[in-house]
Amino acid sequence: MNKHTYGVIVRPLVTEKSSALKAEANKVAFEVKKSANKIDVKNAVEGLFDVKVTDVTTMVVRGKHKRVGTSFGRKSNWKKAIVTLKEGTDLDVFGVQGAPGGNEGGEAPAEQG
Amino acid sequence: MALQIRSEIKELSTVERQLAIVVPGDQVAKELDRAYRELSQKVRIKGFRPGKIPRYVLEQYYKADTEQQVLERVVNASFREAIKAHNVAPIANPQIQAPSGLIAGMDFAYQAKVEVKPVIDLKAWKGLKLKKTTYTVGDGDADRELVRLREGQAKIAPVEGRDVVQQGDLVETNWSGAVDGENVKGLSGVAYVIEVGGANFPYKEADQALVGKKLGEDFSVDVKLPDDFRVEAHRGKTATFKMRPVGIKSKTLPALDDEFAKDISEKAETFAQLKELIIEDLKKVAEVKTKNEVRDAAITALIEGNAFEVPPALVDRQAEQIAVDRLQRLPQQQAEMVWNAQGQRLKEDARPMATRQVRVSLILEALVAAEQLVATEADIEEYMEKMAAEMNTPLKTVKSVFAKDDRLKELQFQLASQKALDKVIAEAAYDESTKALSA
Repeated sequence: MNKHTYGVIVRPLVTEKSSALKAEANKVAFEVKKSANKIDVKNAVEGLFDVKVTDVTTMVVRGKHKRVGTSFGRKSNWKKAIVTLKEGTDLDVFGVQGAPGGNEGGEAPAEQG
Repeated sequence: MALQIRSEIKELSTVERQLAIVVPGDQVAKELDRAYRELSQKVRIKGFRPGKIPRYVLEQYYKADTEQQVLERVVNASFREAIKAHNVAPIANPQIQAPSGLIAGMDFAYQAKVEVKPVIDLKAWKGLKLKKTTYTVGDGDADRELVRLREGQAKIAPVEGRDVVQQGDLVETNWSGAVDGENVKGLSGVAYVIEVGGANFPYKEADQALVGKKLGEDFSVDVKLPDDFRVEAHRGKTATFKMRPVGIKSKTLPALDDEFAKDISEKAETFAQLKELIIEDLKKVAEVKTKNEVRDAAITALIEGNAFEVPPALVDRQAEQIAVDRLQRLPQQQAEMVWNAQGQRLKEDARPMATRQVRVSLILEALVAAEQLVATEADIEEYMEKMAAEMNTPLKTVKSVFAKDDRLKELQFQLASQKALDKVIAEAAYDESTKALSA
């Protein structure tokens, strides 16, 4: 585990789309540090979890334009990494602090209806 | 939901059954699947559309809750299936011993203990030997009642021009009693009215010591406390009463004449009529007393003659009912306080009575079934008319009260039971005797 391992991975993305990727192709999605490259991500994932990474694709997601009242603003761009795991290895995204995406603190969201 | 289950029944006693129930693993898995499918529609998790949340995500958040719900559902449904399969009619909630968790695909096994009504073998009900005491009313009873009524009408007026107490006076007295020089709590009174030579003051020595005393005169007298005195330590001891008469009143009893009769009753014009009325009333009282005693004797004989095990749950419920009924007389808030403080004790107190009631009701139920007794429309009509007359309400109101829920069924059952008891009483052999009502 090198010194860059911490901080490279911001959070795992647990969404419908990422769940589908995981089921179909054993791929896991993360939000990663903007400055991280594919090799950093590979090292970080292999270092944090006991898995083998075969491929990493990254993309920069453009921040959404937001309006609050009369003022306009923009969310920051962020980097998404999709990591292909070696066949037969598995990764529990819920083992990661702050997971899953969007719901802070791990509290159960409210039931509706 | 209908579950395919395996179950076995074991008879623990005449009133208890043990059910061993196994829900197969595939059924458990199916129920869990269904629960998660439903949950997926209900909850919202960021990143997923409603209904599209994968099970592994749901499990992260809701596993414990969901499994608990499914467990309850599976236990309820399988228990219902089991009692249907074994034809068991539980009379109370079952005691269920189940493992705490469900595992998908694994058989879920648990035990349930239920109470059922005992099968009653009616051995003794025809020709029961009962004691019957017929109460008679004599002139003496009427006279005693008249004395009571006369006391009630007595006129009390202060005595003027005399300050010395005489026999028969009503004396307002300040008094207090002490044992070994120490005042006894509750053994005192201020302006307490003592009828000299009367029955209202239990300490005769003190009562008689008042005679000849002047108003405002302090004196003391030694009194032997009775053997049933409420403070145990003082029983049979000698207490010193300090007394001071503070007022003298006299009691004038009304003359026993026609005027008196008119004052007492609207129906009586003359004194002779009043006496007749009183005798009539007392006769009714005597009749009811005779009837009640025969009824009690019949119930006791039924219980003694037909032994069976009583389901504890029924007794428990009945005892609670009796305790609650007793509290009903108090205002709500006070009743709640008493219930919280001593509800358990009240229930324990009511237990013997509850046991008796449960026993007799089960016996009568068996008798109703054995003799095929039914409450007819006419019986019900008669009962309702009687009730309407008693409560002074229109028959329609009474009918509407009974139209609700299962009230009519309960009434039918109650009347049929009544018929059964009447039958027992009618077919009993009596050891008859007579007794004066007042004796």
